[in-house]
Amino acid sequence: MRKLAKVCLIDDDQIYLFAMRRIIQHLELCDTVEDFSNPETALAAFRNWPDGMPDLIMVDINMPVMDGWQFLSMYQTIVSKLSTKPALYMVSSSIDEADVERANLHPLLDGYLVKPITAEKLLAIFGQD
Amino acid sequence: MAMDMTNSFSPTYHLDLKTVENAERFALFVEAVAAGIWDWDIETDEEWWSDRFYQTLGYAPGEIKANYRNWLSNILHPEDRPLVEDAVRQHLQNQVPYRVEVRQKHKTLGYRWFETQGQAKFDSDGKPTRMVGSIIDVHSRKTGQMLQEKYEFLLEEMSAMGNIGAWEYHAGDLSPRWSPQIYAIHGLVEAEQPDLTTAVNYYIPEHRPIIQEAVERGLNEGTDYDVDLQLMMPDGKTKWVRIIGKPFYHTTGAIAGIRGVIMDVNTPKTMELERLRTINLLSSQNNRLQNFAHIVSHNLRSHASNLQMLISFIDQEKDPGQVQLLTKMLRTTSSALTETLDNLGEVIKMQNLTNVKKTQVNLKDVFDKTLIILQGSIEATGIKIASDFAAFSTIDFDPVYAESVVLNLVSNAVKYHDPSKTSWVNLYTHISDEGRLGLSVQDNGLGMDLDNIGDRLFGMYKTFHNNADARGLGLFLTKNQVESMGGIIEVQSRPSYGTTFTVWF
Repeated sequence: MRKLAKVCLIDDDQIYLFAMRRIIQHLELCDTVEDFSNPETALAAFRNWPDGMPDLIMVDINMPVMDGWQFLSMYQTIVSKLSTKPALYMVSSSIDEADVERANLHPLLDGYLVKPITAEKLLAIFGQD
Repeated sequence: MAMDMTNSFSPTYHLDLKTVENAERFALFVEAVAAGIWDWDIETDEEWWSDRFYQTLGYAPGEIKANYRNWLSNILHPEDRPLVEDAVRQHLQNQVPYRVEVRQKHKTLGYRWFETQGQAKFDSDGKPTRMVGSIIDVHSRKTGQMLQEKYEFLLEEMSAMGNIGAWEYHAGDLSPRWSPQIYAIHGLVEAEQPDLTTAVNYYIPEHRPIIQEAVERGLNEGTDYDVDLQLMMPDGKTKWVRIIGKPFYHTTGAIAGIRGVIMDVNTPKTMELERLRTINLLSSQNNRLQNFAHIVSHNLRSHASNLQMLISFIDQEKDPGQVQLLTKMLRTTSSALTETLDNLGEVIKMQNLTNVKKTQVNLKDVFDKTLIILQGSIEATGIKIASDFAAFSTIDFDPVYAESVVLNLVSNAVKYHDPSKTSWVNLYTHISDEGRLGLSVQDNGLGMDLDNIGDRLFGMYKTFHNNADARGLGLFLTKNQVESMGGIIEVQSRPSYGTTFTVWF
């Protein structure tokens, strides 16, 4: 398994961010973990990182102001210019069939993950890369 | 135009004519009248029929044998024979006037209706000797009359069965003419025709301008109308009726008046409204259930997964300082879970609408109560709050809902104020052009981009500001409370300019 350089987490749930950072660091899956509780801040950061895009992004569906789906449409314009696109996963505690279906059909998404995200699930994703 | 009497009269027949002058006068008379004339010798049973008698039945004069038996058997319709025989007997025995409408067989046209009448002559013993009479073709009148009777019957049956009444207003005097069924529909006894104002006043006050305007436009512009309105019945109940009106014209082209029908549509209309009410109720309940499923699927699960992760960390953690930190987070998550459960409880309360009652609620009192509840945050933020209840101050609403609605809207305005400017909130009542009562809560706060938010604004757990207090439940509850009282909630907003929520009661 290759160790990733940078992982980006976007979620408004502080407890979740804390837990994810802890698991990723504990498993030594990557060098840098960036987290954003507001997707707009994340998008602004991506625009300023022409060479430093993360290798993997995990974004939550349910967030105030801009939700995961709205984030995706903004994100599309940023990554369309990139030659290698980061792996992108939608994360939610929703087990709503409609959300799962929509995520599976979305061309930008590599997968849909249901919370809680366990070490096993993370290992499976990082192993694929 | 004298007539050859010897040719026209049967040779076996003896006419008692005194003079040629009399004979000529009689011949002229026979020719002049539109009727066919018959003269029956009761003793011999022979008859004389005038030329016109033959012509009336489609025959040339003398073409068939003129006698009573022949007429009875071959010319008269078999079904009418008993009527004729009975009438003749009644006339001859009791001098009852002989006048019947019967069918006779025309040579080419089949049976046609005729009116025949006659008078017998009696001898000194009172015995009838001859009978003279006439026949007239009354076929068009009779069939027309029969058709009219048939239509009248059908119309009467239909209007009774369908609860339909006909009416007519004439331009100028404006006196309506009502058919009997209209009185029945109005629950009135048939009396004199009401004038237009009286007729309009039989409707419920809200519907009077509608019918008034429809009639006026019909009379002035010649427009048809077809409206469903509610009548106020004498027993105080209301009844849905459908009124269809169409103008009719003088030969000059000027509008002569309006005529139309009124139909009792109370049963179907009430059912239709009930169905609509049920559909609305079901869809709002369905909406709440979906939101319910959403909380269970998302919010409860997110807390549960956080708890699960934190506990697994605590299990593996050796450092007491880290354990303490994790325990603190566990406590935060636990209280967030409790709050979600409380919110669920609030939604469940909304489901149970049976305790909700409309009463007169004074908005000023509700507003004062809200200010006391929000006193802390109002003072902390320095927001200026104004109110104006000049338009009206009392509404027909559930008092608990009224407090909840006003509290939610004002606290939202306070919560999402713009710290960079002098913030204000203005609560005021107003009445629309259509007479609907409105309550607006206007602020100069952060505002929202409604194009982006759309119908999610009133959804459960939707927050649109990164605000720590945002629960995302207030507007969901407000909308449901307003709608369960038959009201509407509207919003206007512009980012960095502010937001106005308006409740229409």
